[in-house]
This record gives sequence, structure tokens and C-alpha cells, in this order.
Amino acid sequence: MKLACVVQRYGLDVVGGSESHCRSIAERLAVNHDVTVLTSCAADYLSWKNTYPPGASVVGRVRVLRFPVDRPRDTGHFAELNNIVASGRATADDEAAWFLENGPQVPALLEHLRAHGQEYDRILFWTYRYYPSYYGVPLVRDRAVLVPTAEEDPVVWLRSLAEFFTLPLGYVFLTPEEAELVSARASGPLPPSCVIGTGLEPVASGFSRTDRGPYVLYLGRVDPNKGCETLLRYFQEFLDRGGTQLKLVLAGPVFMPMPSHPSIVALGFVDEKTRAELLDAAVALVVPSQYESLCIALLEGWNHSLPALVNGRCRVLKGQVLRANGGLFYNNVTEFVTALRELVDQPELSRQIGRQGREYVDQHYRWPTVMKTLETFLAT
Amino acid sequence: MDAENRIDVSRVMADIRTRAIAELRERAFDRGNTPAFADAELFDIVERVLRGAVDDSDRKVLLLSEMIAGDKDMTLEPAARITSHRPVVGPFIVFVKRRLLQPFTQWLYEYSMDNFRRQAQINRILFAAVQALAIETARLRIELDAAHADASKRGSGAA
Repeated sequence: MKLACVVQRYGLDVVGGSESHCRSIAERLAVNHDVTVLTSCAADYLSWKNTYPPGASVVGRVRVLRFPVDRPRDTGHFAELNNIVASGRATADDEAAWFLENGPQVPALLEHLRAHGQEYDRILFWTYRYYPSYYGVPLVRDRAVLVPTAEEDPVVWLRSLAEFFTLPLGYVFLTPEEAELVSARASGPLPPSCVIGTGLEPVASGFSRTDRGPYVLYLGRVDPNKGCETLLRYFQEFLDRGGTQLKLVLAGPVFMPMPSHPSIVALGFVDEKTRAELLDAAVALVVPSQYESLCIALLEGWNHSLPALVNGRCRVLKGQVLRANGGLFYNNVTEFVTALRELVDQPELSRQIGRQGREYVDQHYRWPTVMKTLETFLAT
Repeated sequence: MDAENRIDVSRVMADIRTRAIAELRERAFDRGNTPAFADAELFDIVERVLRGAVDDSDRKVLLLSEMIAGDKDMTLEPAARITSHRPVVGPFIVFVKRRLLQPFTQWLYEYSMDNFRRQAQINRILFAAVQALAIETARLRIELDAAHADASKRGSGAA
């Protein structure tokens, strides 16, 4: 098949959930298909400043066509629009302005879809919220497959999305909860879809280790939007209620003030090796985020046979944990304290839950399984 | 994997929830000085109603917020729209506000926005709690009316 993958940024040095997902999939699709990535020249997702040269290049196995960003993001205006969207009071004009300003504004990419869209058998679009997908899908809807990476954030409730979500030929979802969310938002029935999540390479399992801890691990950006403020409060409450001996280790770039507390350790960015070592030796992985379409850190933790403690108010996290039988969840501080105590005080239960998580990843999140599901879906 | 050792997380969670509720009751009873919570059965009902309200606050349509929707005096307007009603110099005024004034006041704006958002979320939980209590009251009223009707029917039958 001749396939196109449309994504807002693309490159070996581009870090981002949907961008990394797109690259992983595109590289693997390119083994059996003719794959072209259509993207912007931007590397920075805040400004969308042109960084890469426009035109064709090759990244790994994949041909990449880059289109220049017409206008970088007006961050002041975007912040204002973001606040309006977050307030739930956006008008149709506000919504249109939001999608335009969210960018990256690449009209030449849309022109390419208009002129050459029919030459591709399928065009996969990553992330509904960016300009290339929002304006691109309607141009090639008879062959568009959307990977929405939708979360329960205020954007998904924008009114204009109700019709937009009915347009693609098909959907590739990351979790069943994401499929339910998009289905609930669409004004009509959804087209055919598949759920693939993502793939992980197996690691030497640490499930036989008995020398775990004494720390719980948070992986990822340390940011209030990821639930980290609440996590820090909950963890301090855990300590205040007698949970001594345990530390909270946060591994990831820090974007918020950190309390000065001997039991809370923020390591900042860590390399892959350190990350793996941290995952191997922790008591549990804690995931406090309320908005997720798929939590890769959770899967990574399970890959290392690490039990999880997740925010139960996030449907995706709770659903994943229940399906895998790979962790516990909490809805308030008392449940957080009780569940964390359970994982710390019951090491055999904790190890078994971690093993079950690993088994779940082995069954559903290995690349051969993921690609088989996707390729079968694209071929139909 | 040994199927015998397999752990059902939902069962573990049910146990954790029971213990968490017991701890919550202890804290609310002892430290909250609420004598009514000495009754564990009563506390369970109260906890269930309020928990349902917190969960329901995520629903997009709550009756009370719908009833006051559109009333400007009762609606939080957390987002500031930078506009001008002046037809000719309007774009210049917007430019000055957005480019010159906004950067200086951004910190205060973001601080206020954050608090507005939290307040809006608390309001939703309170609306959901009022809705849950109204439903409970309505159900009790229906049951009470039915019981009264039943009692008076039996009374008149006996007479």
C-alpha cells in the first residue's frame, strides 16, 4: 500500500507522545509499505518556528516531506484562546481561532493533500487537535484514518468536533476508553476502528527481585497538569499518617516548585539506563495524571513488572489497571494512603500485581501484535 | 503464570475502599466532631451520596447549572477576552492591550485563572451534591406519600 502519515512534527530529536508514536508506527509500516510522512518544518511545539529545511528527506526507513510553517504561534493570543476554551464558553469563532492558532499553520501541506491525496491508499493523521489533522482530514476523508490521541480535557468538548469526529474513514485508538470518549463526542456513529496502543520491547524482567525500594517512582514531566501538585500533597499526607521509610522519586524535567522534603527526591531528566534501573528497583510506579489517552510510563512500569498506583478519576488509567490486574487506584487522599500502604506492606501481593502487569504487556503491547492489528485494519 | 496465585485487583480495591471509608469515618467522627457519624450505617449512606456527587461532577449537564445558565450575574467568566468596541481605533487598542499591557499582568492573570478554574470545579461538585440530595429527598417524598396514601386507604377500609 502507499501510505501517508500526517503529524505536526517529525524527527529523531522530536520528543512528544503523539510524535514518537507516529514515528514508531511509520518506521514499522515502512517495512512492508511505501510510507511518506507529511509534516511541518517545526521542531518546537510552542512556537512552531521553522527549523528543518522544507522539501523531501529520508529519516530512517521513511521518506519525509516537510512544509514550512506560514506563521509562528502568537503565544499571547493562544494563551487567551486557551483560557476561553478551558472556561467551556468558547463560541464557534473562538473554536476556529483556537485551531488556527494552535497550529502549526502549514497551508502547503493542505495543498499537497488536495493535489496528491488521491495517490495514497490510506492517510493516517496523528492527533485531532493540530492544524494538519483538523483541516486535513476533511480534504481526504474517504481515505483518512485518524489516530486522535484524545484525552478528557476541555478541548475534546469543543462543539465543532462533534461533526469532525464523524468524518474519517476509520480510527486507530490507543485504548477502549479513548474510543468511548470520541464516540460520545461524535454527532453520528463512528466509522470502523481498531485499538492498538503502542509497542514495547521486552526487558529482562525484574519480577524475581525482592530488594525493591524503598521508594515509589513517578516518571515523566513534573508538572501540575500531570497531577504532580496533588501527588506531592497526597504523599506528604501518607508520610504524616505514619508512612515513614518510603521516598517518592520523581524522574523527569521539573516545571513546578518542589517542596524541600527529605523523602521527596526530584532527579530531573534521567537517561534511559537510569530510567530502567529506577524501574527495576522501585516498590511501585505512581501515575497521578487525570488526562491520558495512553500512559506509556504505565506500560513501561509493567514491562519491568512494577505494580502501579494510578489516579482513579482518569478513566483510561483505571481501565488499563483493571484490565491488566496490574495496579491499584485512588479517588481521594485516604484511598491513596491506604492503597500505597497495601503495596508497601504486602510485598508478595505487590510483586504478583507487577507480574500480572508484565503479562498484560506481553499479551497486548509487543510490536508484532500491535502491527498485526494495525496492518489488518488498514488492509480492510 | 500460576492461575491460583492470580490476584483480582477489583477485589483488592473493594477491601481498600472499605478500609479507606472506615478511616474517613474515624477522622470525620473524631476530629470533625460530627456525632451523627458514630452510626457506621448512616455514614456509609452519606459517603455514598457524596461520592456519587463528586463522580457526577464530571458530567457535562447538571440540572442546577442548566437552570441558571445564561444568567450573567451567576456565571463565572474566568477567561478575559481582549476586545474593543471602537470601530476605527479598536484594532490598535487590542494590539496595545495584548502586546504591551498583557505581558505585565500575565502573572496575576494566570494566578487568578487557576483559582477561577478550581472554584468552577468546586461549584460543579456542589451543584452535583445538591442534585444528589434533591434526588434523595424526592425519592423519600414519593415513598412517604405512597406510605401515607396506603395508610389512609387501610384506615378508611378499616372504618
